[in-house]
Amino acid sequence: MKRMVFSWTVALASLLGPVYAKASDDKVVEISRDQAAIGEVKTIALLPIIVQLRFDQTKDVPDPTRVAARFAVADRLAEILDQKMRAAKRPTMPVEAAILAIKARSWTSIDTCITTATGTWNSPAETVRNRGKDEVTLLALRSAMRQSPESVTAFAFSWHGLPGSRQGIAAFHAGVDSKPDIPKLKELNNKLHADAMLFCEVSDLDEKDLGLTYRTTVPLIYGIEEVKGTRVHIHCLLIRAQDGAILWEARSTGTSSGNVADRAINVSRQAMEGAGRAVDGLVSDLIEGTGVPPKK
Amino acid sequence: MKAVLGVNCFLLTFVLLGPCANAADQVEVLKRDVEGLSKVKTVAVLPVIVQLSFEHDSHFPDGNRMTSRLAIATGLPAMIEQQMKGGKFVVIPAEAGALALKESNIDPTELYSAHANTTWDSPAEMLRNKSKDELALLTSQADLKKSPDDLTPFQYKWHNLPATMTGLASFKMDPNASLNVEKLRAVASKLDADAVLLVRVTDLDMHQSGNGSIGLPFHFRSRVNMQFTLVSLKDGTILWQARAAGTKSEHARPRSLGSPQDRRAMECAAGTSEVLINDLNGAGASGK
Repeated sequence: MKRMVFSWTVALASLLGPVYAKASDDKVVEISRDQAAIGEVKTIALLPIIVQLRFDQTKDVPDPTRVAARFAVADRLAEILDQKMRAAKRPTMPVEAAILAIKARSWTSIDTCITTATGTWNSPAETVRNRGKDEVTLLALRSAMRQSPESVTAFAFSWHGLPGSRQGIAAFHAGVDSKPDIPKLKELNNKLHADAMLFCEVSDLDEKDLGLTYRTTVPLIYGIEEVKGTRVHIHCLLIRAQDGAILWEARSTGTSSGNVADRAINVSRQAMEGAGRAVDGLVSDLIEGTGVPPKK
Repeated sequence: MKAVLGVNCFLLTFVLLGPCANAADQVEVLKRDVEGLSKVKTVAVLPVIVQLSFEHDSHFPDGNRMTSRLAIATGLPAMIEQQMKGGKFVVIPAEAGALALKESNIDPTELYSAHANTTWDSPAEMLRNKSKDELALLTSQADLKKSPDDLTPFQYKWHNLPATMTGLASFKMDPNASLNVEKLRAVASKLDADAVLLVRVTDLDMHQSGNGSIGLPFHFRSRVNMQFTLVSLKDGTILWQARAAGTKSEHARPRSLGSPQDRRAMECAAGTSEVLINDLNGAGASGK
């Protein structure tokens, strides 16, 4: 009898297939808005997307897969934003224009943020490696940064097996937003000639429980497994180029559906899905002030 | 005794398997104009174009593998810029090429003479998989099979991603792709460079075997084929053209999936581009 019940349960679950809970609590939090000033903005320059990593976790080097996922989001976010803004009839200047202007000044994208630095890239304050020989260098000591919760420093992450490194902002406490360096942005705009600049950062990437599903847990053995989606946190600012005034500031989260066959294989794909949802809400909030993603 | 034996067998498995291996990349030089190359000082890297071929695999392209192609297309220009620094040529930032194309309203695929029977509004063939990912082709697969050297633009749309990827599709994996000189001239006017480097990822193959157990750990094998073409912006002639195939093989520990798919594809592509850049600089292939 027990065997029959078990067989029927397995058969029924197999027929039903995987069931996923949908993420519904993605939201946009508008921090500030100057509606009159936003209305006067005609040209918006998109600045390169900043990636933030938190170093207050126990591990010395953050998980290289998740760091790669953040940069994958940053690399695609400018295009996603451009597409959504174009669809909302507010086209932006291509991000490449801002990157070239930054490179022409021998800066990097993180030079547009205010950071604490006691070292330089040639002699960083701290270098940490993991067993896989992935390396992270920091421009300020972690021990010193933990004493000042609101400050951030710069990091460079290099993956073993890949040339070069990627730079971003290292935070040591949760919920710390990167602050744009207004004088530098004004200088940058001498080349861009935009009315306003859109400064965005991938401020966090975490896992979110989406419920339970019946699927393969260990190869060839079926069972109940917790489904986790990747949640992306994005923080955006619209800065008036003339005086550096913040016209709009918002935070948004977007969670992937978890509906990818082999989640562990492609965290970047999940992160991009989450980022798309977060951007939907952000663009809607910037243009219409609603913060509600458009219905599809 | 049994426990000691078990531990030894377990350790032996790892020692025998090893963590990963890279196969030597081989460069096949298709053209090299030594005199023309000597006149080139500045090079601009144009956006990477990915290619799909239906000769060996006519199935709908796998969504995860397509995101790996997207990762290569997005990340490789900056890596090539890095690899070319300190070499024979002065390299212009990769963003300059992308911006020049955007300002000229040219899609990177238009730099090749591609065959298109229709437009994106009504593509010649629209394929969908069970997940509702979409592949649009401007020439049908049947027509491509009739003329295997033809290239046609494709557009891939993931059901759950806000991204669309364009590239070139063909029946043969290595068709004789010719350049659209007119479009190249339009881009040239916006670039302050002597030559442009066109990068085409002609194939990306990723295999996974094993089941994650001690006896059969996961084994991943990635293979990427790439073709680099350096074109003079003065007269549109090909100064150097070469192709290479790179493989990366990796074993992952039980209950682990090793480094993710995109990273493996990127590592493989970065290794292959390095040997191609070495060849362009005249240093010859340096297979790892």
